[in-house]
Amino acid sequence: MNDKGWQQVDKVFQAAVELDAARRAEFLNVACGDDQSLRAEVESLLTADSQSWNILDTPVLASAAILLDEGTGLGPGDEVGHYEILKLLGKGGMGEVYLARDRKLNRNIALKLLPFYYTQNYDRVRRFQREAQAASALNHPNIITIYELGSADDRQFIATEFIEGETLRERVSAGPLPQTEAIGIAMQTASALGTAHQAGIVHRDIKPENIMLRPDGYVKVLDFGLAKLAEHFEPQPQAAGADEADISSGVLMGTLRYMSPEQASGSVVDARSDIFSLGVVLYEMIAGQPPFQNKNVAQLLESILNDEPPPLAGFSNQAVPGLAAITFKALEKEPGNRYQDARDLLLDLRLVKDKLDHGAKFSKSESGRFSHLGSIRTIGSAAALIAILSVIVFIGIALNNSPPQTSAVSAGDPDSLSGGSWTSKAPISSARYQVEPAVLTDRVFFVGGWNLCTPFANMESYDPTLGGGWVQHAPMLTARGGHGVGVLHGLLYAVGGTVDCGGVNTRSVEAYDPALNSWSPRTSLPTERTGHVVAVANGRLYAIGGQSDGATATSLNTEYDPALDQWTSRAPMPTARTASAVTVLNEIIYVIGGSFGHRPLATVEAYDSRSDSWTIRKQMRSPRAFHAAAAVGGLIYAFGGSDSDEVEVYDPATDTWELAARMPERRAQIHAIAFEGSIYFGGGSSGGDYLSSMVAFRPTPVAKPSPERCPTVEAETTAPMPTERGAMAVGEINGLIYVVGGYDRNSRSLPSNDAYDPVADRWASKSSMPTAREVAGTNTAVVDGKLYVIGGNARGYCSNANEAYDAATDTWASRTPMPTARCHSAVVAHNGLIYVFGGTNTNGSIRYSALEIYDPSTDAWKTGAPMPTGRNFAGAAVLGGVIHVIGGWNPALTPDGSLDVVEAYDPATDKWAKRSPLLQARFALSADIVNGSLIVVGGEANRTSVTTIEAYDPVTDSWSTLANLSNGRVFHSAVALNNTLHIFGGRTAPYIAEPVATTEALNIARCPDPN
Amino acid sequence: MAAVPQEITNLLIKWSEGDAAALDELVGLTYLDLRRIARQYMRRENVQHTLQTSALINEAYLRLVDHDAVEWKDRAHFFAVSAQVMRHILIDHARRHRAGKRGAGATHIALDDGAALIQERAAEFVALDGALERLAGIDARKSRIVELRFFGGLTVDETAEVMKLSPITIKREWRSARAWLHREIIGDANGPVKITDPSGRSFSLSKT
Repeated sequence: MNDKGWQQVDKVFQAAVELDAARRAEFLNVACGDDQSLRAEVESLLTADSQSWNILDTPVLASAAILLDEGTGLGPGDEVGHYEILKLLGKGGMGEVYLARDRKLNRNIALKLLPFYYTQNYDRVRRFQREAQAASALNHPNIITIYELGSADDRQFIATEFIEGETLRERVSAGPLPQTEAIGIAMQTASALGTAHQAGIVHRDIKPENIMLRPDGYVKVLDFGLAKLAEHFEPQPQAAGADEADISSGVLMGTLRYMSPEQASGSVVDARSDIFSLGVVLYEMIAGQPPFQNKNVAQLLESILNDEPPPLAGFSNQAVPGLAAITFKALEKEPGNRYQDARDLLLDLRLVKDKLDHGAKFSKSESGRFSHLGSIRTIGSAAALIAILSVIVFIGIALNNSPPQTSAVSAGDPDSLSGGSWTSKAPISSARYQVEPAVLTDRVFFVGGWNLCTPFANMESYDPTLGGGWVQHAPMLTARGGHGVGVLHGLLYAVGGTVDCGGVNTRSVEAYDPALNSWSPRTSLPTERTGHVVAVANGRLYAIGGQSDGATATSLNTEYDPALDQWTSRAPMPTARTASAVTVLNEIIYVIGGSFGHRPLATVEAYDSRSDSWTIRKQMRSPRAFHAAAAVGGLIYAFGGSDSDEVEVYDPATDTWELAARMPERRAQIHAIAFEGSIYFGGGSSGGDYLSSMVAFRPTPVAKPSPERCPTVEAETTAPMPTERGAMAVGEINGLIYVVGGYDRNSRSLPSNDAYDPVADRWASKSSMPTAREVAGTNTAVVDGKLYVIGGNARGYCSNANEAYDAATDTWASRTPMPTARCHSAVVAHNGLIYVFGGTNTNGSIRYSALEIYDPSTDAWKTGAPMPTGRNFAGAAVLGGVIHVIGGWNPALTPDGSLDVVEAYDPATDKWAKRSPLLQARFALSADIVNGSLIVVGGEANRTSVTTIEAYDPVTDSWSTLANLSNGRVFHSAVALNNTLHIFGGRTAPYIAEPVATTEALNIARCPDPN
Repeated sequence: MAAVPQEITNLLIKWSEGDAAALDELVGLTYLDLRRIARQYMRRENVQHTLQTSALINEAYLRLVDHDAVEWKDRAHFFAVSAQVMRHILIDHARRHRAGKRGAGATHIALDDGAALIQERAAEFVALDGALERLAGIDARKSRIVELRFFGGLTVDETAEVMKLSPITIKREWRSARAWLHREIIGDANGPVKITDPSGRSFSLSKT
């Protein structure tokens, strides 16, 4: 178009754009006349004008941040967490490394800061943390010790041991190494790799830069677990003949030179890839130059894939016989032809080294890995027996104080709150007491314990579903009894206890990782503890009560934060005691019974970690110590203890205890664990004998009113929408339900706005939304007679638009846009504020956790506590002043991405709490409150539409299935009015692009009042 | 290596007096400083917060220019130069990221989503730069206004001062330029755009 043409288009556009939609058409008729091309030009500009545009509508630095970020630029004296920067040690593709001072422990450490933009993606940070966590568990003299993984000011860091010395790079750049030294370095590196590979960790970036040489001759391999992250980020090799001079190509070439053929070609790598890389390093140490010297990336790739390295004999430094063969075996192109195990490489290197040293000083094979524990050692001396006097006396007193007998309730008594059945299971490997149970990886674990004077380190597990025998796992680092265990984020923690029958208590805490089958130490308890209970709630682990020093029972309540690896004191338990039982129900920790001053207690106290407060509950019918407790079906059972065979059951809803089925035998010194509706006990003591038997108790289902009957659901078909659509915003204003935006059968974003009159069962068209978009995920934000549509997918771009529809005037107004542009958030209104949870970005790479809160009265945004689980396509509804965010999608968390997660946000405290998960995971669901019940409808999971309707009971924190939809619905919208949930459009099945126009009304009857 | 305030100040004065060559020198002198300040500035801000280019440039102005010698009008000029420099800095970075990408296809080493995000953003900036260049070809004034307001973070009033136009004209021109650029880059074709693809299957949405 020529300049004159553009000037005309511009002039007409500038005039038209100031007019409202109705007058625009009129104006264009006049201004453009018959000039169709002029009109098309202007109209296309008007369309572009109405669309939000991420780049130009965002401050430039916000969108360009990731392009600019190249380092932290920290200097001496700056602080990162509790580390003080001393100096910059180096910079690389994976960030910067500083020498820093740990002010807590007063030692120098190396602090590696990851580049800022690496950490902008929650999934990636999680992956990184998982990987680095695994690496941090590696314990080997040639592997650098990782002290802490953390974050400060939005930046991820790793604190490691600081190693003085030089890198192997510095050494080899000065020429070939003496062969004994080269072999020594290769051996130590191979040894490190052997241990890492056994733990399932592949280094992926073995090169001279990552091998540190200490002045005392020790070799330390750096950066285990980091390379996997790096390979996704470093600028990639260029095509042959590519003419762009990549500024980072030096870094790249340096990395590529040590890659195995499979790694360089982008295939899957395993431990043998590291062996190849070590082969390259070994070659370079001997020859003084790497095997492949090519100057450009394409040629280098070609050589790695196809060329034989030049023979080592060609270098002035005549290689020791055998050493060349070892190097070339490590450098085999085909992984199957290389050393299969780094330890084999190590053995061969050792043979060569021994030859070099002229002596067959064969060190004894280090194979002697300890054979398993679990054998019962005979009791030691009489002195040892006396030494555990305190324990024995304790049991004796408990026996003497056994409570008066009460009339028994037989198992399965239909009138009792709960009977149940007992079954014998395979016994644990040896008789012991104070053996702690836990459920991990769907197996029941038993950890540690005592047999008279012998503390046990061993841990064994049993699969309650499949049965079969016991599996032995890696033993704890410290044998112990009187400890507590808890499972948190997939790790099993053993906390405190007594380690020696002389009564030596420990502060020691260690964690077991089932993926690695190994234990690693964690920050110790602030004080020694034994006889305490350990429970996990709200993502933290608590050690409560027990004896701290000496024999006096305490009321200590110590909280462990796994992210910080740190213990903190919390509100102490009202009643100091030891030998209590504990169970957790709905994230509330119940500490039950126990003893103080050798006197058993009936005390029950409940701790809510969210408010850091205790409440005193109804006492048990009988005082108990050394007993067990577990929760099933919303009820808490207390078993045995004090040589009792009684079982009592507690209903937290009514705060009452009742007697339940007796145990098959008296049992004390036990703890219990619930798994899939049964409660398991192993070991313990009975009448002075130590037991190895395991039994399971399965309570008969509770005879409470069945929740399935109430509320009831009746569905009726209502008038279809004027347009087929899905993923709309909906809201009820003055008895009319407005259905706004969404997407059509061609997956295009829609601007239209239709109002439904439920009384007349009729639709009317209303004025369209300025920014056409779909808002999959709840968007039901009505405040003061205005429906706010926030964010969403606006024709292919995630928007931050915030537009308010005023039903009274049938007009739209633009409001302050949301700080973060995002699609598919959950948007609800509560108490005059609008809450936007999670969502995703335009290319779908981020699952946001962010909570942004809009105040329509001030037209301003603020930020709330982020949601624990980042997700999009979630439902949300406000029940009892608390916003429940329900289900949703996050492909990093489940195989199909659908979530059963329910998290509750309390706007009063800006805090999150977990709720019982949905019975059926789902995303693109709808949710609202009908007649005081939180109802969830439809959605998608496992690539099928979900038909079930679930209702949430906040009193018992449980979900029940109410009914099924006749057709599944996905990406539909719903809003409640009176006792009816109105459901609109969406798709009836996944994989069908076309949304439907159909609507239905679910009439949900109120539950009868219990009184 | 920081530029000398006096030198920058002199060049600003020369440029405001009509010496076109002074502009090129100014851009060269301030490039490194602005890039350094931009990076520092960006890191100081939490990602959640709004990042304001004008605040950054203001800070650069305070640091780089001899204030006694420069009047408010020259401050506006400094902003104008800075906007141009910011554009260079950002587009240079974007192009470098793009250069990294083209090589990647050849080696089959997959980029992950974080890298993809950078690539996508880089592509958007490069596209915007190209479109702005084309806009300059048919309407230089609009192209300049976008440079000042977007890359320079200038307000409407500041842009008006630099351009010697009324604020209302700046507003109109901006809106028109924005629509033109948006159409130029996003296009108005009906081809579908893939977005937020649950369960990895197609949930494509068209642009219009």
